[in-house]
Amino acid sequence: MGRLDTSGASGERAIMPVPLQIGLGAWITGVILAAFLWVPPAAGFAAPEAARIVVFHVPCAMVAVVAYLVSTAYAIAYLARRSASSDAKSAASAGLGFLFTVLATVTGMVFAQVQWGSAWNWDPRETSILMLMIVYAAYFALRGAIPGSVARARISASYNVLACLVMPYLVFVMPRLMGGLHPTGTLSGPGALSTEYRVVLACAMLGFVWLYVWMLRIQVRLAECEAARGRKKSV
Amino acid sequence: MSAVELAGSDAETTAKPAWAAFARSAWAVLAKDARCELRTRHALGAVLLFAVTSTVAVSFTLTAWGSKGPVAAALVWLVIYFSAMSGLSRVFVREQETHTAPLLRLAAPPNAVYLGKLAFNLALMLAIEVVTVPLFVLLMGCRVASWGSVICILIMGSLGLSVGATTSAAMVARARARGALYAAISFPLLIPVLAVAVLGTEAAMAGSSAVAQDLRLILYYVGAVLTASLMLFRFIWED
Amino acid sequence: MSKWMYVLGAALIAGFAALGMMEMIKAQTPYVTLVSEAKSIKDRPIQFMGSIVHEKTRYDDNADELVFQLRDGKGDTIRVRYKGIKPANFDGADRAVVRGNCYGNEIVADQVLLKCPSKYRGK
Repeated sequence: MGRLDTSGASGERAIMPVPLQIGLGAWITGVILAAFLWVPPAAGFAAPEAARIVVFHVPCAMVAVVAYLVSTAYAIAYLARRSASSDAKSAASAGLGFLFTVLATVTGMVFAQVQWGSAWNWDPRETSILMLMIVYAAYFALRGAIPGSVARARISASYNVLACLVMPYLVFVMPRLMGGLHPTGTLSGPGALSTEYRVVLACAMLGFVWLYVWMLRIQVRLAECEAARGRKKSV
Repeated sequence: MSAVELAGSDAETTAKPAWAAFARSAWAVLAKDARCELRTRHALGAVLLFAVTSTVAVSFTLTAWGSKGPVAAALVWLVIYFSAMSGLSRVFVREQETHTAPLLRLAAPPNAVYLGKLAFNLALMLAIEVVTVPLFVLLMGCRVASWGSVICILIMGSLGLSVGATTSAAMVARARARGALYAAISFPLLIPVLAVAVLGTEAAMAGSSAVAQDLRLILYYVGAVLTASLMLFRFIWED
Repeated sequence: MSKWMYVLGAALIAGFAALGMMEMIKAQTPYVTLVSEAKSIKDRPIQFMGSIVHEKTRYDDNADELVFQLRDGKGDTIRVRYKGIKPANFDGADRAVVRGNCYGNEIVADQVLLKCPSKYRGK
């Protein structure tokens, strides 16, 4: 088989049509430029220029949570219908979620270092993203350790659902139980964001979700091809 | 379909016996594990040894600070937690290693197996605590205002830990590198119980009425996770 | 297991989760915003939020003790004593949340959290 055809030109179902691919590239470029050139440095911060990172940090965290929810949805679908593609999608989404979680953590640490002088403070939001990473890591450890693709799919899907049940406590309740350095109220309060920040942040969120969807489709197509090749080999 | 279900195929006349048969199966699983354990005392011995050694080690180094409420509560639950991590996976791992798991799948409905194993793990944890906690209080010189509350929070906390730990044990039974993996996947599931149990123990030792709230929190956790585990267990257990 | 048992299970889980959430919300250390309220709770720690009265702030370098005053919505002030290093952005902060016990007429705080007027907007 030659190069993976992603544009749909050869008649195979497109992962993402070329116009949309180009559109995404232009969109993200626009967001990056806007973040550095259009958005003003934020008043009141120790490093006003560094506040721009919020435009990248928040969408990463958001996509991480969305990816996890998608992963759990496919896990439930797998348990209900036992289709291998549901399991592939569940694992792929979890993998991307892990990537975005790491990105969110790193951008958060960079900002914390510049703004407050220390990269890690056990601030509740920081703690909860660490919890998310631990759950993802446990999920992949479990997947890696179980021989046999059917057993692996079943058991990791079960763990996925169980972890999702406990997730709201780890991610939402813990921040509320403690105070913290995280600028509470600066994002959700009215007027806390100037229009420029609001616009760029919204665009960034859209762009990141779009990017995630594309990456997910590539991963799933890759898994399908590998499964098909594995089947052909064994015949 | 298990042998029990095949035998009771007439729904009308066996409706009552079906529930009784289920309870009998669960009890049989518990009794078998208990009998095996008491015969060899491997797990019990190893876990108790671990718990006692940890308690002595901890109190040896921390006597002065360890008797303070929050620290004592945290330490005692850490010892209990690590003892649990070392001993609670045996219920399913041993079935897998001795190849008795397929027979068990045939002999009892999945949830009966789960409940039987859960009961065994809970009993194991309580047995550990009966030895460890008084030893800890004695060696650390802790002041306990209300033993009744402490016993309640210990039981509830153990139940909470057992539910999550038993489900995780079933998940790792067929995996490689079981030991570390077990602790890794149980950790996210058990943090809520651990956190609340430590707070509750601190409150109980101080004699505060805040312990009732912590007991309720663990109860709700057990309700949710036990229901989820019962729904998911047949997927984890099936061949 | 029939479909309706899954529905029942999901409902049970949702119910327990809701109960848990309600307990969690009740369990938080009381958040107090009035000085009169703060002074009335003597037996357990409270979290008090108020605006910092910057003119009255004193920091003892040698003893590492920060003494400042917080004003509530009504205009009453209460003194706060915090043993520790003065937070870096204290002078720039307009409000603070302090956690501690109220002894007499002052709060002895073990934690001071600052709310800076950091907004994501240009100067």
